[in-house]
Amino acid sequence: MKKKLPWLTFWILKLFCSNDNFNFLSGDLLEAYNYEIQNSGKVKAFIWLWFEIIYSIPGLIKNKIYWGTIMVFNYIKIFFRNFIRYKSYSFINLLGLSLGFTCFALIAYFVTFQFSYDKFHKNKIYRLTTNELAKIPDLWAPELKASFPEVENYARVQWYGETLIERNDKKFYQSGGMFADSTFFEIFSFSLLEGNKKTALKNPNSIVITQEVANKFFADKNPVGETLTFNEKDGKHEYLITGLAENPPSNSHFHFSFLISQSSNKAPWVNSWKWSQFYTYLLLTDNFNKTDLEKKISGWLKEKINEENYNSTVILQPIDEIHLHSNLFRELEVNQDISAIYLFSIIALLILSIAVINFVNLTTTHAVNRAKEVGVRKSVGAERKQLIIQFISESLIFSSFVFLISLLGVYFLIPEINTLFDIKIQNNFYEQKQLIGVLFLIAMSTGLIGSIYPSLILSRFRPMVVLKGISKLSDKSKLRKGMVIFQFAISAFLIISSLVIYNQMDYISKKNLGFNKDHVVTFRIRSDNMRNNYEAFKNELLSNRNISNVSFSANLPGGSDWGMPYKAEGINDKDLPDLRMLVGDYDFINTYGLEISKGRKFNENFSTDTSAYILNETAVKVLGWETPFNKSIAIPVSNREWGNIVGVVKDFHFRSLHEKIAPIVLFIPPQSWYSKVSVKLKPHDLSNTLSFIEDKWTKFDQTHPFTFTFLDKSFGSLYLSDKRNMELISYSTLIAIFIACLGLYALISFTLVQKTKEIGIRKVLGAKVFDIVYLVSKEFMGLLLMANIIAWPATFYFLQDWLDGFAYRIDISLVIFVVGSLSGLLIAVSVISYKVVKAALTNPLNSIRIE
Amino acid sequence: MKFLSRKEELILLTIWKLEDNAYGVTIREAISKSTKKYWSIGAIYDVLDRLVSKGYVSTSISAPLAERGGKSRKYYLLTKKGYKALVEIKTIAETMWSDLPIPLLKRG
Repeated sequence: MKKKLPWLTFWILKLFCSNDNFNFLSGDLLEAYNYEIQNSGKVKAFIWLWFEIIYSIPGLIKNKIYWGTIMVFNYIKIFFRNFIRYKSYSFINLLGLSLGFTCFALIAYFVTFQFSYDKFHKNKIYRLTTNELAKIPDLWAPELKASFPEVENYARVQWYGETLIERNDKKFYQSGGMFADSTFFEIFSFSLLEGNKKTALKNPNSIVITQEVANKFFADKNPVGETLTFNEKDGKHEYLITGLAENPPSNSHFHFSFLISQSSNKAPWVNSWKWSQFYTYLLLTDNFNKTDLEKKISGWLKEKINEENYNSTVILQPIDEIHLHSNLFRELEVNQDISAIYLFSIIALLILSIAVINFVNLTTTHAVNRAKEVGVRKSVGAERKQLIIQFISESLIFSSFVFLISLLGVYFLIPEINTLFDIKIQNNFYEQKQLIGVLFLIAMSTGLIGSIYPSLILSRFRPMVVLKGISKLSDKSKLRKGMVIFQFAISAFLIISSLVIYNQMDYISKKNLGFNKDHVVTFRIRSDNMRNNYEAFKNELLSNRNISNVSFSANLPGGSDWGMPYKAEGINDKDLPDLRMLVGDYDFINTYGLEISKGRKFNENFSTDTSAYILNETAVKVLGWETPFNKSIAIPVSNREWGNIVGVVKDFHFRSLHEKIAPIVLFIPPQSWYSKVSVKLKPHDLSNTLSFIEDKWTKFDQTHPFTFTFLDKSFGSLYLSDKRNMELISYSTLIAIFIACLGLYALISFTLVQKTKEIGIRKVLGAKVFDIVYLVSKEFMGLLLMANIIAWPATFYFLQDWLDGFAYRIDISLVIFVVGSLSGLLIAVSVISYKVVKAALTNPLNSIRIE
Repeated sequence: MKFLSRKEELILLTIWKLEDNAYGVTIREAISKSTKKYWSIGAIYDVLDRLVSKGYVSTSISAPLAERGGKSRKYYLLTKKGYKALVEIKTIAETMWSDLPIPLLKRG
């Protein structure tokens, strides 16, 4: 007689059977097996047994699923009961995790959006640039196509500049227009709603408008075949509308509002080899090596241009990498810095980890309340495995809730993110199935990770012990303490960082730029009449007492300075440093309050001053001229003969503070160059003065409406991305601190519940409120202090790195660290003491009476 | 009101028939014999567990037996509730059968 089933069948049964059934079922089988051996022999019995096992499996599985689902319903029921029973705990836990997860999801969505730029183009497009400038000259692309078999096709675009468009009685200033090659719609995947892709931009004076422009002039009518009139400085131009394009998607690295055929472009830089004005996109054959081709083109250019000091090289940029990786001079639009994206991602992960740690901590501490349940479950036969499954599935239910809440949260917060970052993420979050899938996985793994530790602890409880009422969880859990430290280290990091970043931004906005940008109004000259009579216009403006200075210029401080090839006396052309140029009339220096350190200002009484130059201190240093006044400079490309240096102006920040002050030269341009007017106002009665300017404007220019900007505002836009980083970090800081404090609050409440009796007895024995507060908070304070100390080096390293991005920056002082840490501690202390003081004040009678 | 399933009915009847000797092996033997179909042990346990949970049968556990490798038998006994359920389903079946007309059968 056999004593056991063959081992393999034994294990198969065990695998598919619940523990309870297994004993009886294996007994039944063994009994029947022995019977079979007696009746039909060993071999037949063995076959019979296997047959039996295999046929039993479906029934066993069915049985298991049936009872399994019953248990899951029980778990869900218990989950909701507990949720409602411990309202504040559940609420804190849910709020903390949902908040953290929503933040994470939002930033994840933002980051994926940033990576989606220009992925919608079906062709593999490359932009050809030089190593300095995003634009290249007109003739390069067609010549390249003729000489390189790799270049299949090309499309060039050039900004048109703001213009006044008229149709019948409607007039609008429209910016964002471009000249574009006829190949534009074949190469790019921007969609053309009306009109022919191939011919729309072929003929001179044809224009393709986007829905944005079409809506202004035609409402819902099909605009193709109609005409628009451009009111330019040199007169009116008619354009025939040959196509209607969809507005470019927001994840395109450039946005156009209308496109004019390149064949209508009459600018002086058309057909030039050297005048870089065109953003050039190439369609290349599949098989080529990028670096080889770049080298080949650079070499070819050197030959073509054939100039001694020509040494710029070209770069081929895949179109989908431009937005995040290209940071050349004169980009089409401000691109996103990839390092900021990394920063955002890191912040997202930090917040998520704070939230998860909270979740783990709270669930673990809360386990005390579940001890009795575990005891009961165990004594009626629950196994450890089942308990673990129960707690894990509870936490998965919980994290599914969190997931749903954060989906809602993201939906409502996307508009806020759009305004915060000044971008237009289409609100198609729910169509991002991949992203939502990934988020769901993360939510589930959050739930899983969060529940493993508590479920292991909970399932370890011994029923005898917990049912007797000794349900104290060991307070010595190092892991839990470690997690609290980690949370507050992250919070400290964020607090200190936001303080330093705030200080740096403050420093920038208050730093003396070397000139006065306040109360300076600037506007563009839009008619030849105004340019030709600029003296008269100026005098009319100056008649107002509240206008102190008026200056006509070709460009302005704040990034619109020029670079042109020049010659300097006694210096070889090859060795000339790059020199920036600011070009304005005699009042330019006064209007901007520039200080002269040596020599004199331009003076109208000196007839030679029209060809004179003023350098800044850096320029004098770079050129190596100890006495600059006997030296001279010439700019042959703009027909400027040799002229003397008459003055040196103190260094001023004509670009953002990210950049070091560059050498710059100022000179008086011919009248035809003037395109901007800067008006220095006295601070009072601004609106009256502005309407006065508008009055005078209409006297000289009847066709164009008056528009203006304040200079300090346009300077502010130089720091837009810094401002966004700051806002993001401060919001994150708030959220991180909030979540961490929620966790701390819950933790302290549980500690207090466990210490109720102890506090009562101590009070009876004569302890004062202060002693008790000290006793309870001492441990937490220690943790918080340690967290701050850990956070300091990492924070210091990060901030040094960030500040290095500014040419002009504050020094990190210990004070900020101390202040940051103290304020973090203060918040934590107020959270703790609210609870602790309340506990310490309770009547000891009530607390000892418990049980 | 939920009626007994056919499988449950058959197994309950078998337990009733076997009186105090109804456990896994005997139930399966008897039911296979009377239905002339093969019943796997897994299928039986699936139904038995449910009958227990619905209270139609009660169980008792024997002393460990050598021929079962030192394991006990779990005996099943029909309860009053189980008996009622059987009677109920029988009455319904009889009522349904009693007033049937002569069937109009189509040749299949």
